[in-house]
Amino acid sequence: MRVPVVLVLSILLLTTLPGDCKPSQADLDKANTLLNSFSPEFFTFVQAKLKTGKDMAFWHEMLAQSGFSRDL
Amino acid sequence: MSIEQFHFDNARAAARLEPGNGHILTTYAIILAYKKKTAVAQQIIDRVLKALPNDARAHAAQGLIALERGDLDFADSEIELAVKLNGKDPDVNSLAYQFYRKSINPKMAMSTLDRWVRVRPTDIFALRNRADFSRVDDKFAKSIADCKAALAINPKYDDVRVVLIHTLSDMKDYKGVIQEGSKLLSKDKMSPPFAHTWERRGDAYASLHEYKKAISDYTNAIKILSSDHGDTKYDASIVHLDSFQQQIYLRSWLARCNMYGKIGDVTSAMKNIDALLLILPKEAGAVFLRARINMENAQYDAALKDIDKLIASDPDVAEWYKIKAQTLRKMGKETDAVKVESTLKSVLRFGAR
Repeated sequence: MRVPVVLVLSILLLTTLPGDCKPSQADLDKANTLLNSFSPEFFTFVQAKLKTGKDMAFWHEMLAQSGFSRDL
Repeated sequence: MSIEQFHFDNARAAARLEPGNGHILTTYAIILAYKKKTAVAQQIIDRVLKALPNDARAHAAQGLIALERGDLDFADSEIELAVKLNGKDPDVNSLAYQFYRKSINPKMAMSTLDRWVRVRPTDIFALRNRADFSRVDDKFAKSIADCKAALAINPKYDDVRVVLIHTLSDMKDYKGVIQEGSKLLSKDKMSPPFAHTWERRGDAYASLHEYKKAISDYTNAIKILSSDHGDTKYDASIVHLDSFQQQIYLRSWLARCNMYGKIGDVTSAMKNIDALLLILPKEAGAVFLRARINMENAQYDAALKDIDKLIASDPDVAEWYKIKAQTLRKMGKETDAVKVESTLKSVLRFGAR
């Protein structure tokens, strides 16, 4: 059976939909540890991650969220 | 860039990168609500709730937006729903706590904090918030226990040490204030968030009659808050500060004048009082202080001139009559002092301040 190209493209698009990308568990743990210990290193760490160009939405949101769920 | 702008810029950047992510959009809406941009925040939350009708964070955000709009009943029901949907989420608990605190519902605020700490016992932000709220609610033992629990997790968490110092200060445990204050306050703490703590330690030193140390702490609070970081001229441009910081500045200035009087440095006391009155000529606290220092230094005529000025501007303050009677008595004018005390009695009868 032939799979229509449109369907393949749709599946590909769905698998890369926003919200699916997430940093590695190690990075996530480190960021949370720094955030929970109210360390200024948290900002340095996240800024460095942003510079890599990966998972940018996640890191930007984490910085934004520190405004109300954390008091950095 | 202000910290608020920093959070806003990041929330917007995240939302632009992932416009279909409900979690990110809710974060953006919350930050927008803080910036009082409630209409656009509501539009975003409407989109999120259409896709995710049972999202606890989105309902909590909608509660915050309603609160900012002044719709308390709807805010209340949205916060209640958010907690019902996910009472373990730290953002939901953080927003619920803010809502109950702002809407002056201490019972619900405390019950939110208790739940937050119960589900996340090592969340130092939850511990810090409960410590601060317990302090405001006069539950000092609970406040201190939470501060110590948070400091055991992270001894470098300045904000919680600030809460601990303020709790000890409220309890009038001045030695405790000095002990904890000395762990926190140093040259790198010369910034506005610490001004109140410098003032609190100054008060503790003053209460223990360590006047010179008090002067040093009050001076630091003044320098932090003045626009040029000076302390010789009363800063007329402190309007850039919020009203709470303006009060700290004024109180620290007056308290320092008082301390100069206590150590017998009348010249510095008077110079500082005059500097304040130059900017705030009707500041009763400064006029009263000048009268008291003049009285204590046998400058009775000057003291009486200020006291009469105070009585003329506000005749219902009992303290004015007390110091007037005291001054007249020191001058040997007993009959006049008795007359003033008789006026004081009638002021007290009809409601003194």
